[in-house]
Amino acid sequence: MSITARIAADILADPQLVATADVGAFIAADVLTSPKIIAAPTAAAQIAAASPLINPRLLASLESAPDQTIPLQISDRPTTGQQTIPLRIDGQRITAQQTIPLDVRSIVESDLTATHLTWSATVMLGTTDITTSIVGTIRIDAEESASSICTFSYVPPDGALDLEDYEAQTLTVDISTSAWTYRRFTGVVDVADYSPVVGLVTIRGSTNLQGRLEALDRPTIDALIGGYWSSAIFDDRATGYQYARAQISTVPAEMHVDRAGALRVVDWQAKATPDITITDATRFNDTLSLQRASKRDLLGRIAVTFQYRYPLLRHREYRVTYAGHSFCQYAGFQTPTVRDALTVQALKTAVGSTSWAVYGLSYTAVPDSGTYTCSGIAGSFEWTNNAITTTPMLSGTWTLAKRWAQDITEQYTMTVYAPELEERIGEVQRDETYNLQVRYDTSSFETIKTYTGPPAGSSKSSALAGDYVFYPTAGAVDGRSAAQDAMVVAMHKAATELRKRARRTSVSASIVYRPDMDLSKTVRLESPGLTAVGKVRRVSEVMDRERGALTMTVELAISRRLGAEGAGDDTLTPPGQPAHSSAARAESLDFPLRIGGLATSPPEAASWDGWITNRRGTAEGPVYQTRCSVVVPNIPNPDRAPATVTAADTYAVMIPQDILTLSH
Amino acid sequence: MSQLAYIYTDATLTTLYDTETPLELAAADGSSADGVIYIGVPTANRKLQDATNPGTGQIQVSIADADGGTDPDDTDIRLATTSNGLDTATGGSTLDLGTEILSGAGNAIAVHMRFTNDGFIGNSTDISLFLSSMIEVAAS
Repeated sequence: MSITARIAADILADPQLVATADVGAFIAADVLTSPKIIAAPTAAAQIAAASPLINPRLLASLESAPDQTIPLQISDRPTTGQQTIPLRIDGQRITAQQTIPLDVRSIVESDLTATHLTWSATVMLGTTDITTSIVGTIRIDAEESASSICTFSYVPPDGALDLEDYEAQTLTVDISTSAWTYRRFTGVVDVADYSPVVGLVTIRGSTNLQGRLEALDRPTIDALIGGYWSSAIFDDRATGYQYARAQISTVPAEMHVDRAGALRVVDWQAKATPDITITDATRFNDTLSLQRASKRDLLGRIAVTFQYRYPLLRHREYRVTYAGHSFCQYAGFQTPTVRDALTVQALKTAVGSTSWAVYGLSYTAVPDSGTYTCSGIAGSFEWTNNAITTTPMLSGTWTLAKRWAQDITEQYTMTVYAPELEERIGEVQRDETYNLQVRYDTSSFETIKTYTGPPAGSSKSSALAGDYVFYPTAGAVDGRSAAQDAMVVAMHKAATELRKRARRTSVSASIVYRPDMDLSKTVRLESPGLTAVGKVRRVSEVMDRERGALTMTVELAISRRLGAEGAGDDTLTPPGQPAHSSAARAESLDFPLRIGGLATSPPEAASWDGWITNRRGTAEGPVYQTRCSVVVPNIPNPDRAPATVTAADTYAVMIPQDILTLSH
Repeated sequence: MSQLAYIYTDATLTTLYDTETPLELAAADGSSADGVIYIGVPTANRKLQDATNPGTGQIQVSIADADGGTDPDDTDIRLATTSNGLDTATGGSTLDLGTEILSGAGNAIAVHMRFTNDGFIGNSTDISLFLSSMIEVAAS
């Protein structure tokens, strides 16, 4: 039972308590006098909340009662709220052996290419067969790396017409004869228009290549295309479609949605054995045409310049030796005498005013007060060390160090070229430039001087003047590995561009309708004057239901190397990391002692470094201003200024040679 | 529409194989035609294993010929997991897909097939493929 409940129960059990003026006293005496009651005002508030019948005076009494403690009986039966016990359910789904039916059929050329086919088209809009409502022609255009388009007009059902209802509905077109049925188009309605004059709805269907790719994540696109990609070469914010376009630009292939509605990536390379051979040249009529790639279309080489920029973190050290003087010189018993000793504090202050750091100080201190002897004098002498706040030294060594970042640009020039093409077109070159910059904030590295040694992870480089160097090039996005990957991507992109331009020659013809024709096919076209083998680049077909005519035009992409066949592709491996070096330097310095007041003392110079003091006693020469002067070493400009190091290589790519023979 | 589980017509694992529109392998006499399907599971953190011996047994695709001996027969079909592999595959042989197929399009297994027409004329639905019984479990 809670404290509040127990008090409320006690009070409410006696009706007199509610009315009596002595309730407060009673409570105080009977309940609240326990020395263990605490926070009586809090208890009053709880009682008030528990029962509005309690006399306000009781509450007043409670509020005025001293803080006391109520002993509690702790139940050994704790209660807990509802608890959730998470479980991991691993569902298992078992599928029985599945049978995958195949449509195995022979292609009987005479069936497919019969002069007079009795054919019918079936057009499904969503789940509705609208074939009989179609007026005029059904046109289907398919092209590499683009959406296939299907257009036709049809008479809509009577009644209200909502064109938006059509859009995004699935659309399929099949063509059948008594011998075969082939799917010719699978897509969605892209747009539907209505002509109120003629009362027809015009449907434009699309295989929606862009939309299909937009919906895919990058791993899926990677699996589909198998190309190359780098955020240093392409836009990292690329959507699915843009990403796919970037990927496909690095491999000699094209992508499209096939007749059955599946995304397909098909190599440009024509198959060794054509899928379809068309020899019925008499039916080409006047449509057979050859369109050769012009020199403007062809490209023999692409010079890819890739700049990899990063800050090279350098830590330069000098070990400084201060030979100093003897204790007897400082004590005045040995010439030349020295009036003042260099102190640790003066040294650190002097270094602190520069951009350098000092650490690793080791010194011989001026001895403590005591009795000492010096050669050249008789007996001993009493020495009193008066230094209290400073630490004077007789000699010492220390490390003087500086850190800075040097901007390095590694510039790689990778010339990807097609020697077979250049044999005929010369060096037609295009330049492409990419860069990758390491994101690294060097400000703290350059300004903080509290370090006591070389940076963690650095290594001493004999090639870089003995400096300790650190390359911040381990990042996943901007590290050296990413840079090398980017160069590989850029080279594949260049090689693909050369091959793409080399297949700009086209052979096209209007052929006898082939229901199995599509963009995946390699076709051989034979005519008396021309034989060509190439992958289908474009297919256009028209099904004219009113005239019963089927027409089809194909365009083949013909890859031509022009020159003699080369030795083979070079492996597209980036050049090695170019070397960067600095002139060698001395890694130790002397910190001189300069004593003024001697007959031999030279005139003082403001540019002096070292500990500058005077002799004891009467000056016989120039008297110097006592000071610790640290003149830090100069860092040569080539070691500080942004530097560019270069590497270059050339890479030969072979151009596939498709058959193209002409005779006159 | 009758769709098969885990069998897709595209490498992106978006279109399930529909038995009503079977893969078309059309080849003229003396030539061949290739096709490809994909076995995979798009759901993340799952994997497919052979149902009989999970984790150790091979998931297999075999060729069935309903009217054995009559063209086309099972030996007219070659299977491989790569397009190039079809050149050296043996007609009629069962194809091992591995002991497990991890989820994601990138891990899907392509089943390439080649129909070589050696005298068959017509249409045939006698040839089909069998995909062994599988169990889908958490990839853990």
